[in-house]
Amino acid sequence: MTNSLADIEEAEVILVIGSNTTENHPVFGMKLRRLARRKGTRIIVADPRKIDLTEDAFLYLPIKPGTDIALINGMMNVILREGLHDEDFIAEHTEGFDEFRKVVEKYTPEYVAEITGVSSSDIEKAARLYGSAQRASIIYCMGITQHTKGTNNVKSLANLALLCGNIGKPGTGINPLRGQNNVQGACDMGGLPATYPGYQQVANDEIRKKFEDAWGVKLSGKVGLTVVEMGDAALSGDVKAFYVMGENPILSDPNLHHLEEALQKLEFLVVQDIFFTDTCKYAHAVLPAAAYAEKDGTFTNTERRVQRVRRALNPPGEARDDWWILCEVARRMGYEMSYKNSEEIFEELRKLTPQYAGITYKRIETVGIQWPCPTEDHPGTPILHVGKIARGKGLFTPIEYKPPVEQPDEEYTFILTTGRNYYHYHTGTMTRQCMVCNFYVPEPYLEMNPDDARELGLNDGDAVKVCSRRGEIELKVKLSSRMKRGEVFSTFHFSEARVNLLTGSELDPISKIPEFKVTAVKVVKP
Amino acid sequence: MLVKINGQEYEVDQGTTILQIAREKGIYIPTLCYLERVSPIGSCGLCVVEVEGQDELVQACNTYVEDGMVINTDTPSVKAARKAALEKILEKHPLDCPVCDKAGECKLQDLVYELGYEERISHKVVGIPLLKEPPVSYSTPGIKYYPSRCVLCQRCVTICSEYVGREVLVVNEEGDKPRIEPLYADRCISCGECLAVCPVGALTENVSPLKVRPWQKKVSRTVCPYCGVGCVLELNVGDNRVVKVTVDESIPPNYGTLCVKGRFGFEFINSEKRLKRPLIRKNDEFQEVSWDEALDFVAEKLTAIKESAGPDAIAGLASAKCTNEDNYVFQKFMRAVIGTNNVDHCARL
Amino acid sequence: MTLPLKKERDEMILNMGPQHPATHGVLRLLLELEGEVVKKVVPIIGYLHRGIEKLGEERTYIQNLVLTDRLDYTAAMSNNLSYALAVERLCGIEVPERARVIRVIMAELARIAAHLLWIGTYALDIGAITPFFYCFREREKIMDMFEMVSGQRLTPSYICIGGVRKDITPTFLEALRNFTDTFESYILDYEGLLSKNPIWLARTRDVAVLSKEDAINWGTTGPVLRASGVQFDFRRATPYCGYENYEFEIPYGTRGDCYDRYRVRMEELRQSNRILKQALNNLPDGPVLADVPYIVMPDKSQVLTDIEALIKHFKIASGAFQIPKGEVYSSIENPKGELGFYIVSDGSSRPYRMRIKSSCFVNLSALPFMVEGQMVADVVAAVGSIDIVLGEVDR
Repeated sequence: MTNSLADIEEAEVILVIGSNTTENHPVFGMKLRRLARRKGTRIIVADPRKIDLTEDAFLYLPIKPGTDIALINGMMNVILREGLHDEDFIAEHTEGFDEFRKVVEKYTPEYVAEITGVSSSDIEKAARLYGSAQRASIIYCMGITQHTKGTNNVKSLANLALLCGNIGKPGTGINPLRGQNNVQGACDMGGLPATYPGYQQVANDEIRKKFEDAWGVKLSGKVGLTVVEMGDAALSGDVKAFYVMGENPILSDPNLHHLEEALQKLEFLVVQDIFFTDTCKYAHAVLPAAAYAEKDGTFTNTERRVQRVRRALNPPGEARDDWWILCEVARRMGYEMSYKNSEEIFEELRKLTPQYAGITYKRIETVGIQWPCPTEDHPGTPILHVGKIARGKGLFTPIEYKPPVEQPDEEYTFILTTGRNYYHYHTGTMTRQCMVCNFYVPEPYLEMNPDDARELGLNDGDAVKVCSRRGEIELKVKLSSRMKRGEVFSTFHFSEARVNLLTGSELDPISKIPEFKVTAVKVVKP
Repeated sequence: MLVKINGQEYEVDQGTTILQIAREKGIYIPTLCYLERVSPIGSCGLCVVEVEGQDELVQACNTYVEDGMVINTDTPSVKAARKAALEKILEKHPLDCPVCDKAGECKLQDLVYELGYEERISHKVVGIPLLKEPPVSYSTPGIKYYPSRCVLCQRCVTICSEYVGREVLVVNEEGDKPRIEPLYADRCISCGECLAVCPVGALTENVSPLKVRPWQKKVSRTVCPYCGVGCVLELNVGDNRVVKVTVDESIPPNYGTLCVKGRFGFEFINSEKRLKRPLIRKNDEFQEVSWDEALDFVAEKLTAIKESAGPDAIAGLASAKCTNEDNYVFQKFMRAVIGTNNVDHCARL
Repeated sequence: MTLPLKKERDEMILNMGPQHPATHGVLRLLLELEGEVVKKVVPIIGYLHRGIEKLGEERTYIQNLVLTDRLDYTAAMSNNLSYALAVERLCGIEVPERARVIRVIMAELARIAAHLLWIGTYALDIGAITPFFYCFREREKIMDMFEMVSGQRLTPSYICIGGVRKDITPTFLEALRNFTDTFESYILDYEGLLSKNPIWLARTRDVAVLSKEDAINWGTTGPVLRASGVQFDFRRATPYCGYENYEFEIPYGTRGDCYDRYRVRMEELRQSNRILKQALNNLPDGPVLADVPYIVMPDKSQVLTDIEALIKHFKIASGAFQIPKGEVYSSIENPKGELGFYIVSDGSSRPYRMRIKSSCFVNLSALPFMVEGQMVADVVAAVGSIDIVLGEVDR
């Protein structure tokens, strides 16, 4: 997020796109709802599903899955046409405006209405709302990114924010909500194939030298493989061993048949987890780890706030801290790596991570600090790009709309989007143990428009088979008026109906994110 | 604007209530129903103060200050009124502190202890004898509702409509004992905000079978393991089990709010299904082994593959569920020990 | 475990205890013997260590009272008193007059009971069986009286912060009056059995002598100190519970041997009985608990019927009352000597630190001094004569 969760209060207009905030980030969703009700903040929701937040939204744009770029280009077209853009800001802080303008001019509201299924007057209304607000914020989530052109989606949103100068002020910005509690931290810590901690490129010789000095070994400068590429490499035999720490790829990764085969082919698979997950079934060694309540450390949340995690109880049996296990394996492989406690690790990592350099356990004892925090007397940075865009000039990227890779056809008539629901979380290893969560959502389901169901002769609760070009699963139908016709929704929480057997592994060329939000499926009675 | 409280003059802003000023200046006024996060409720009558020139006592929580107001918070009539208000609540309260989950952290108990010390025990007050009244159904299975313990402060009703925005609860005034009713239970999102604000034991947590008195439990502040908002919460631990989740209202980013997963989704920590010992696959079956054996096995295998097929034949998945420290050590392990950049995690999923 | 003594030449290293009938509990004495002569004694303690001082930091002030019962369990009433006095001084509570007199009665009864137990068991230790039965007959009466007031014989927790738990009953007073009237004659019985008994004399006279200087230098208190000729008693030196209003003598010895310790205790029985009689005659009417409602528990009958009383009871029992910041040391004359509580309060409902000064521990440390160079058989006489209770030594 460029801004903080708290300063959203300053916004006059909030564009929520591709985020079911009230269900997936409920505490923040509650805040949005409160702002709409108590403060009159105008919320624009753009989502294929009529999500709960639409209740409190000023305007709802029911777009077709995968047509976000068209919608945003359409909005920008209106903003430019009506002169609502911030000319001073564009002149001073941005570049590439002219080429961008040429592309956008073609996306008239009428043309966009055709693509997205949203009426042209609504597009104009949304554009006027966003464009004329003093402070407007954009909130997005996986609905924007989990597409084959996820990167372009995000760039479009950046264009929109730059166009109206909505950046670097409280209540503005482009704010992705991170899906998991420490995705931000895992990325910051270099859990990525191309970067060391602090997004320092592995390919950069100078930086590599710095880490080689710190760690005392020669490091590889070759950019590594991403999750989905790892699966492909395992299948082709290039990768022979996996070390999995606290993940359950056999439920969360796309195109599971493919991954299953890959895992079976591995020579060696180590899984380090708190439960015997489905992935463990393919493992050669399973190591019991401590859960979050049993360890000390830090998490970094979506607003870049580094917060303390504290040990509240003892791990069960012989389960140990993840870092302890890794250090022990390293020692046995001939690399001495040992730490007294998590604080010692943090002290080491903050020396190597410029964004974390000024953060200490002592400073975040009660309230977390938002990075970048370069020195120990730096208060942290709640808002990025204040006064100046970080890269120098904000870059307008002309982006053309392209339809999603998968399109429904005669046989596969429905578009399946996947996601989470309010009561469960990710692959369900944690929430499916919880009484309240299971009470509300005990089993997998397929959300479907009642009219579609009637045509297929289905009633609420009927078992159906959902087939895609890659696989099929069986689950129950749940009729829901929030679905548009021709679209169905399901979640990936349940190991008995692994929805990722259906999804494809087409990736975004830059971010390598799979297209989870658009899969063509057919729904048949079993 | 100047006001005088207990003989002391204060400079105050317009549009603040007497209670807000008193809190700010450190003058103690007892309250039961008042919540900072929502508009004043004014149902308990404990915050009464005397304003000179007004015949009746006024409620500090919903009276705005005026210029030159002279306020007394500690006169005998104020004390008597507070005591009377408290006694009115206590008359209908069941005698079940020993079996009530809330006892020990109950706001009503605190108030009785605080306000009651002027005279010894008042003999007028007699609660209703312990009725073994079962809890009635509530809008979520995570919470039990004991109507007999309810003091009708309406904190829950107000927070649900004003703060959470779900409007699930209403006050049902029919019958001889009014009660709170989850009239629109289908709108409930089990966020447990009503549970958090209940000052007494009317709403009690129903997830953990183990209950622990407040003085026996250990409270550790940590961060919610679910979504990216990163709510700060407090795990209440007794007997090495998580028994409850509470929140500190003053700490960002959530300022006291939680959702169903944060408040009720802690059972997995103490689940019986947790892995307790290292497992190794031997003859296609998993066998429990000692740490030494497991670690030696892993190290040996990885070394062999690294030597035969090169470091890039090994790939690692870090985790968005583990701490920064774990992830740092993991990528260091992959890069420095194995020697590959094949590190990724589920950020994209 | 390496022993603190090394065997050289012909010495014999002998373990006495921790399971030995004459060590009065789980005390272990490591003896270095040359023939029958004791060259060196090392008392090894800690077998009954329950961490009471540390536990005290975890429990509330009211809960800690129960721990004090388990110090010198032969005189639990006295322990309660010492603790209650310390806490009361810390928060400035004035105890009603009636409660003060009742406390004196209980403390003196406890003293008598403890001394009776000592005489009986000490006589057993060195060979006389009969006195045991006599002593336990009277001790039993005191135990019964304790049961009357508190429902407990050994661990009454009767004297509490602010006064005593419950008022004493007429039945109790009658029993006490009977006891005080007849007890003098019983003392004569014990003395008849022991005082001039030649075996008794042979086993105790000039055995385990502790000189006046040594007794003071070692910091001993109670009968051990007085037997060595120091006329010192906390009841007189720093009076509490109105001891200044009672007439009594402080008996003391001249030689500092086992026999003198026996004589001092015998005389103390008489003096205690004298105090009891005075207390009985001067027992005022009135409340037995200080009128401090936020510390003192409401009446139990109200607790079950009145919500306000119930809440108050709950709050107090669960540690709602907080003691002002500060520290205090307060000690009393226990049957065995000085029992002191040093309590540091950080303003919460639990002590920040609770240190117990135990007379048994100090007196025991003087043991090697008494017996080194003496015969091994005298070790038993010496240990017994100090009158230790391991519950208090180890805490």
